[in-house]
Amino acid sequence: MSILRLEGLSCAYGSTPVLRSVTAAVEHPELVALIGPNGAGKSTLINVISGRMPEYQGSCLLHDVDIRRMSRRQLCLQAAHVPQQRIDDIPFSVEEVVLTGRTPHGRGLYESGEDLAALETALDLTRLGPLRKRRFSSLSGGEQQRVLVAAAVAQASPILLLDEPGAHLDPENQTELWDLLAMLRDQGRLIVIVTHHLHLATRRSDRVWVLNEGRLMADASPGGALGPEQLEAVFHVPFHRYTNEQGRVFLNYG
Amino acid sequence: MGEPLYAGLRSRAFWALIVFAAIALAALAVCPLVGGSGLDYQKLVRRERPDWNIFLQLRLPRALLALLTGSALAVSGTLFQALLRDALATPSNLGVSAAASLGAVIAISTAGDRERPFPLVWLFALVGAGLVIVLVVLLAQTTRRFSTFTLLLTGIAINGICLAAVLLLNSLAGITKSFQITHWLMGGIEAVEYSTLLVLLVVSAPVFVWILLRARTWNVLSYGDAWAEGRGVDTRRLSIGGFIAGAVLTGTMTAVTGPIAFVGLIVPHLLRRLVGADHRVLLPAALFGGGAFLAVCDTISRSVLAPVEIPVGVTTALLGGPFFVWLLWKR
Repeated sequence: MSILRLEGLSCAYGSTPVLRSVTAAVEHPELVALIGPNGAGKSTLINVISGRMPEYQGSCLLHDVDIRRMSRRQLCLQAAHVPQQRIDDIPFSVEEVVLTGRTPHGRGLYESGEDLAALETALDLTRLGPLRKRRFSSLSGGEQQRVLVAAAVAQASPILLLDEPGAHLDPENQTELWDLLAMLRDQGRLIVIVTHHLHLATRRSDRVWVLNEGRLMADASPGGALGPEQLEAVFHVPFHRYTNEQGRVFLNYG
Repeated sequence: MGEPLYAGLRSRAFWALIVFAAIALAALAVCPLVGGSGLDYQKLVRRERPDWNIFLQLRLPRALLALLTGSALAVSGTLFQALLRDALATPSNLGVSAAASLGAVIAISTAGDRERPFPLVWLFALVGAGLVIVLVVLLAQTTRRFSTFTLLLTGIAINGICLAAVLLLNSLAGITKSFQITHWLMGGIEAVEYSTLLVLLVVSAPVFVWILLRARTWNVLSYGDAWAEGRGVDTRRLSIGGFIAGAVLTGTMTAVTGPIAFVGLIVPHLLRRLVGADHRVLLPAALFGGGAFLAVCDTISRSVLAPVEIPVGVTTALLGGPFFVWLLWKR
């Protein structure tokens, strides 16, 4: 049984292929970094898995169930998606934004006690307690990103799909995000994160998917996937890899 | 952090409903009693002619129509703002009202010389509103990078085209028809038969209920499609449903009253400042607050220059126009 299984996923915008027969499977809760150049199809892949791209060939299974056979609600109970687009100009508080993650859990007009408990847990994990009453739009970019991740945490789905959540984060927030993701992984979640922070992907992820021109070029542990030659072939810039005495891997480019 | 988180929402929604329903009831009680030609309240109490008849057959149905129309315009304005995530999205700004007007004017000018054949005007207004909604939905579906800015610009174009068509029909029409059209276009609340009111209520009540019961979903939808879809919301189905609901409300009321500007814009904005943006509180407030607002505007319209009556559309436009500009300024 796999948590996530992709079988020959292909997808095109008009006549331009975006994904070309992507096949992969994840059996255990892991932190998977999805990397690749701009336009490689990373977001599209995330969108297919989260059910936002209805037209594709091949299949995507969550816990061995084809997502084509799930309703939107069922799918969102399995996988929580944090999109790449920024959400701005909404007149809601941090609490209210986090509670949107509970939408798939009930059809009622109001949140249940269980929903409120999940809110507390999510706020604790993401350390957003002090900001809970603040208006979302008044927060910094890093804080906003943390709130969106908190909403996905509150959704309590076994799979988290994060599309470049770290794009606007400074080093401290970036590191905290990866700490949080590692903790969520340890709690038993599978996390797929799209990122351009290759050094963090090398250091902190369990597995790396390298996507290039819609093809999955590598699906391996960071050590295996992120050899400088492979990266140079995909990103077209020279890469330098360095391991220090403690065995820490450093990756640099340009 | 004092108040227990979120516990207040249910009671806030409840109180918004109670308070604004009370305001609407108060408007309904007071507005029919105020007016240019003062009513003799003693005769009214004794139910004597003519004051009792004026109250029962003119003033009361008029206040009821204002209440229903105001509710419909405010609720559909609130809904469109959530669906399009834009403060300026209202049925009028998107061209829905203008298209409904064009439909109604076609019906008026092609009908026989009967006074105003309501069912036909209603049908044509609905078709007009419906066509614009189809256009809006198609635009939202086909363009991948569709923006509300595009929609609002489209709305301006639709408004212009419909107005031109209306003027064309008006100039082709005979003098009687032309008068009817002009009168209708000014947008006004008039005394109507109770049977008409009943039809309006029967059509709009289920739509109101449908919209209010989805308040939590409209909240999520106002974050944008990407976010809402990741939270289990079928955005496509719900947006289409919401647009149809708004078009039915707007088309139905416009058929009876003619276009009434800015209610769908002013009321949601003022209420959002008063009660917050959560639709579970905002929608009940808009439902009754919008009704009360239009009933009061209508009373002002027929009292302030009595015995001359200003069409209520003029009053709302004079209030709403500057408000609209101020909103644009603030963005």
